[in-house]
Amino acid sequence: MSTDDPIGGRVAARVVDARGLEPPEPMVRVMNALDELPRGERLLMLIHIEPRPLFRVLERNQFAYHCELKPEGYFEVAIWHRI
Amino acid sequence: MTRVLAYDQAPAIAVPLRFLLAAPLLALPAAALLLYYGPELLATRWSAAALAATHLITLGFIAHSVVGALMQFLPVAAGADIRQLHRAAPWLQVLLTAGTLLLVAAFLLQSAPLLKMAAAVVALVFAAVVILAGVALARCAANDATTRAVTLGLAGLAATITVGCVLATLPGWAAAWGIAQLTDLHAAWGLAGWMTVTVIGVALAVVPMFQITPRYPPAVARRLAPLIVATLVVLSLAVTTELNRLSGLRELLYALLAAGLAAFGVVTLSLHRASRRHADVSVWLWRGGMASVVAVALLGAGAMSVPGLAQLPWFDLLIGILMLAGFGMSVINGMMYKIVPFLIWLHLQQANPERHPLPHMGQIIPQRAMRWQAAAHGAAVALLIVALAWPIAVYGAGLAWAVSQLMLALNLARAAWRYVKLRRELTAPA
Repeated sequence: MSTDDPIGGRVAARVVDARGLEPPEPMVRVMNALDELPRGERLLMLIHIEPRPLFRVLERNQFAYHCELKPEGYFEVAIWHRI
Repeated sequence: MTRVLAYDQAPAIAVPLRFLLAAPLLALPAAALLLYYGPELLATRWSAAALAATHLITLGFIAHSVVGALMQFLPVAAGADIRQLHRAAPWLQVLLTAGTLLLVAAFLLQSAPLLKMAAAVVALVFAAVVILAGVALARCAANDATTRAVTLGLAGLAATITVGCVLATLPGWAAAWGIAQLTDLHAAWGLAGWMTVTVIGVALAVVPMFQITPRYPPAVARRLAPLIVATLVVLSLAVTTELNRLSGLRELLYALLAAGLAAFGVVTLSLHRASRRHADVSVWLWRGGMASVVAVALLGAGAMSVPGLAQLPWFDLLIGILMLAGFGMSVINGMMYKIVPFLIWLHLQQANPERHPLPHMGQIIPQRAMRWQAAAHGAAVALLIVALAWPIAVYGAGLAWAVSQLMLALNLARAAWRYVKLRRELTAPA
């Protein structure tokens, strides 16, 4: 699942590893990190389940994202400012 | 510091909470029935008191909880737009409570007119839920295993209510198909087609999320719920058409249902074992629920291999106790202890742009209070089973049931009151 990725391939400025954390901790950590994410950079979130409720929060707040299931069994979500 | 980002717009917290708070209050009168009728209630599944207690659990506790959970789950997990269902929620909750109490009164007073009136009210509520939620699910883009299972659960609910209404309002038709066979079909759709299939759909999303387990294997996630519903469709044809004459078909179909229940129970227990997290109250309630469902599957296998076992008077009652109190109520109780604090946390965040310190989600309901309530629930289930062999234990079961449901109601009400207080503090002018 993804939106357009104009900065695909760029190294993530910051990684939020939320694997094994119970809600609401993954959401809290990623929201705090996004508050400080500079434009043109992206945040990488690692999580053990597909964080579907987060996707609508990102869309509401003008962020784009790309979510991918890794062979190791966790999801990797790249997030960046849409505008 | 002001928060830059906004959290998702969840429905008003009162929408799901009004159903979840009503659930233990409607299960509570079942304790009064156990204490008043005593061993008579568990003498046969056909007693008026047993039928009344069963529907206090299915409509009072389970249906209220499931409808309340769907009000939150459908927009958040599936992205479904259920604003019409949310608008109707206060009316639906009042009518569902009224329908439940009317049905219980109809059984206890053995009144056919009251039974018809109750069937009409309950059918109206569930028709609204199935149509409004079904249309919203059909329109939403999500097409994952969870959404499909929840949709199949709604179809299971429609089938349960249809068969139940035939039993309540068309005694001539019911007699032509066989009252006992049709009642078994009503129970099979209700317990497996609606309750278990909905629990499977919700479990696929919430067990890995809240209990930090690996995800369900894809084969279980994709095939289990459709397999259960397909088996029930064939079983319905077997009961109502000439297929009934095929020898061994019904037994084969019940064996398939038992295998489906066993698969769900064993896989969920193995996911809990694979989790590296400390097992909390919610996980223990789910473990109890899964052990119950595996026990039901083993009883089903026993009935196939030991002639006459299924005809013993306690057999159907034991299946009912394990499925309703052991499985359904335990997993719902366990999930309430995750969902209610999460909802409260989420709604407090929306009212807290200034980031004032708020209680951690795990502090919304005290752990100790949850542990005692879960222990009372476990005691009630165990004593109900003991009472099948030693009837005097039914009074202990009644007391434990009353304590468990009162404590659950208090734990949930205390959480809701804490939310009201904190929200008032957050929104009060400085």
